[in-house]
Amino acid sequence: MSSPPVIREIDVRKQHRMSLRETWTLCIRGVKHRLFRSALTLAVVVLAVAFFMFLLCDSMYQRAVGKGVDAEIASSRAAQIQLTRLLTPATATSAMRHLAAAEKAGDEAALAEAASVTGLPPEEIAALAGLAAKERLYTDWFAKMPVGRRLILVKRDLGRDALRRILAEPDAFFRQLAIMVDLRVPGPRKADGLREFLAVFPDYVSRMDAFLDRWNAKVAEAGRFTSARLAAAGDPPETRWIPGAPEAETEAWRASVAALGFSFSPEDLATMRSQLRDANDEADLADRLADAAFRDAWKVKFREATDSTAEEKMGRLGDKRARELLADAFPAARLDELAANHSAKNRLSKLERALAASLGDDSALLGLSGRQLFLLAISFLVCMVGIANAMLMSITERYREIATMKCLGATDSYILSQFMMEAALQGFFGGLVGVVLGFAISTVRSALAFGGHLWAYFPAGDVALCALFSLAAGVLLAALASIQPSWSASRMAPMEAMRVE
Amino acid sequence: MKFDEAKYAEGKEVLVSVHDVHRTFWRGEEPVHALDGITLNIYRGEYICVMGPSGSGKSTFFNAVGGLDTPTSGRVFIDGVDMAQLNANELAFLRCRKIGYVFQQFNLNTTMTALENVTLPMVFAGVSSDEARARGMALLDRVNLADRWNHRPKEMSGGQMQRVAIARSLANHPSILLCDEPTGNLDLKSGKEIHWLLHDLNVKDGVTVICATHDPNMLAVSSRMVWISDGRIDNIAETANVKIEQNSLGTDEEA
Repeated sequence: MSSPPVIREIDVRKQHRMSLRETWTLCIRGVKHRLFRSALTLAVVVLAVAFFMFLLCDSMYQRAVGKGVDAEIASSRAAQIQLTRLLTPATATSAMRHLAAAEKAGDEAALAEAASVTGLPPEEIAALAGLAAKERLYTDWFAKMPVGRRLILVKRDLGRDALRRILAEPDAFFRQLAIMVDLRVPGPRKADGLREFLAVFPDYVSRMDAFLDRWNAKVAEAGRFTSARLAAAGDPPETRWIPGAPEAETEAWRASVAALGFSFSPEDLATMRSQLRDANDEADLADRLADAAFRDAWKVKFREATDSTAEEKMGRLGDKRARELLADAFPAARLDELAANHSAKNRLSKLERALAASLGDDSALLGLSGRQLFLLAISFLVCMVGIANAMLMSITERYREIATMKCLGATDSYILSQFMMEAALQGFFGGLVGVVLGFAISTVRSALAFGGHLWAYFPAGDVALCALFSLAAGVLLAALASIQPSWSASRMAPMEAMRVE
Repeated sequence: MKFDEAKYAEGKEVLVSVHDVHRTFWRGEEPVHALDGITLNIYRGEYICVMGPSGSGKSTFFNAVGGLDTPTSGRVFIDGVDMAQLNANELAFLRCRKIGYVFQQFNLNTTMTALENVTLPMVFAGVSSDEARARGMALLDRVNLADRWNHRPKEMSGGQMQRVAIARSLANHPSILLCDEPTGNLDLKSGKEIHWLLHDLNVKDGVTVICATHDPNMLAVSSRMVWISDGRIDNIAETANVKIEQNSLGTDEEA
């Protein structure tokens, strides 16, 4: 046998590095044939992304409808809120909340009104509003804190009392606060922010008191105007006088109140009149339905064995017999309106109750509650495990192909990138189907639960974001989950891979 | 007649040199010596047939020569390059350009057409797509399948698939063609087509063919035969000095 030849210099240059575009072309070529064959992998991706999309969409719907319903309820109570504001003296708390809300919402009109009513310069109002927002931040923080901690930090005090207690013994408070490591002071500057606020707190309280005195003086004046009008009309309650009095008289009243600096436009008055009229009629109707003589008459007319409740009677206002019984006080058209108002209000308050549980506070991520975030995190995890498993399977069954490609000169990095690209593509297509599926399910479900309210407050932008997010999650999860199996497949010696069956 | 290596090697260039190669697998605690010290020179332009019963180490020998597996000890030189010194990328380069592989199971990519299968190694070698297409068509023409370039493996017969596989193995002008039982999965007629094709490539194009086979027709066209058993070389013989049971070789030569 001859001896081995002298080792020649290794003339093997670096193997050609496949560009991403070349890899992509090869990948696409295979994927269009493989896409429907790897149905199981796709199905897992579809389900995972659909579940994810469903949860996200559902939360967005709840949030949007919840906000819309809140606004609707607020506007239906606008007259009551306006009247209370005009005729009842403000308290330190209500003034603080009013200014803080205006500050947070950037409500220039409310700040301008405060300036014109109190006669204070706008800069002072703006400064007060800023401080009021801080007071609200810290007092809300105490109110929402677990009771045990609150007892340690500020004893039983709430609101300004709590702040005063801290001011009296700041060292003790901040010492305790430092011990509660996981308790985070709200606001951008944390504990320092609180310290700064405490430094200006006494000054702020006295300025706020001055504001209150001026405001309440005007409220008292508005009250005097109103009492005079009511006395002239024979002392009815203002809720009866405003919708009932001639328009010229109420307009004159409005003008005199607005002259004090309050924002009270003719449109506000018109809304007030119609809302109060509805409220009065509703109250009258309710009185009527509860009246003993009327209930007897109803019982006879409807041949009822037992008394029906007022709620049941409201439901039958469309009945001819009910209309006959009520014809003396309410025309048929008015009864229809009242019944419609009543059921609309019922629907709203039902929705409000249903949504109250699911609505988180605005500071949380995406406006989702902790429970929803937890569900999302769990579903993300399940997605990850499911997709990882599916990828592992789909790569294991292609070991022979990988071995062949290595025999033909494919580099490890090419195999890794091709398989990751395929996984990302599967993630993309599966994700697309999943997004559509999740969107459809959550939309149908919410449409059944919220009816027209869903379409009125449809959060199209949020839903589009959710779709993008779910799709990206599908692609990323699929690509990430395939890293390990494709890496180990690419590192195998071709024969080893060929032997695995 | 005893094989005389010195006389045989005269005027020939060593292409593959296998020197004292051992390969040990572990079945649990117990070592299995698939290759137990093989030394062999393969010369340029040879058509060598490797034979041996299953379990003899034939496949392991193939994998060692083809750079698909790393020997436990010993050295394999291809074109003077020591395989043991190559990293993963250099091995990929070697597989891509120096060695063509033909498998018993064809191992075509089922999602690609014949032409795409043939051009795949050229893509790995960085050949431009126009040139790859032209070369791919020429290779398909060489194996008489130019009219079926757009067919997928499932639309072809076994013999046609194996011919596509051979065209693919020739994609980057390899100097060595490694065939692992290339006719093992084919009927007699397709098998003959394949071995005449390999013979043709060996004679006309000067490709060195290393072929594992039991097919007597393939043995007949080879220049040398090597028998392996128990991981050792049992016997080496020049085909000219061996009488092979021939059945229908004569009629094939006329075709």
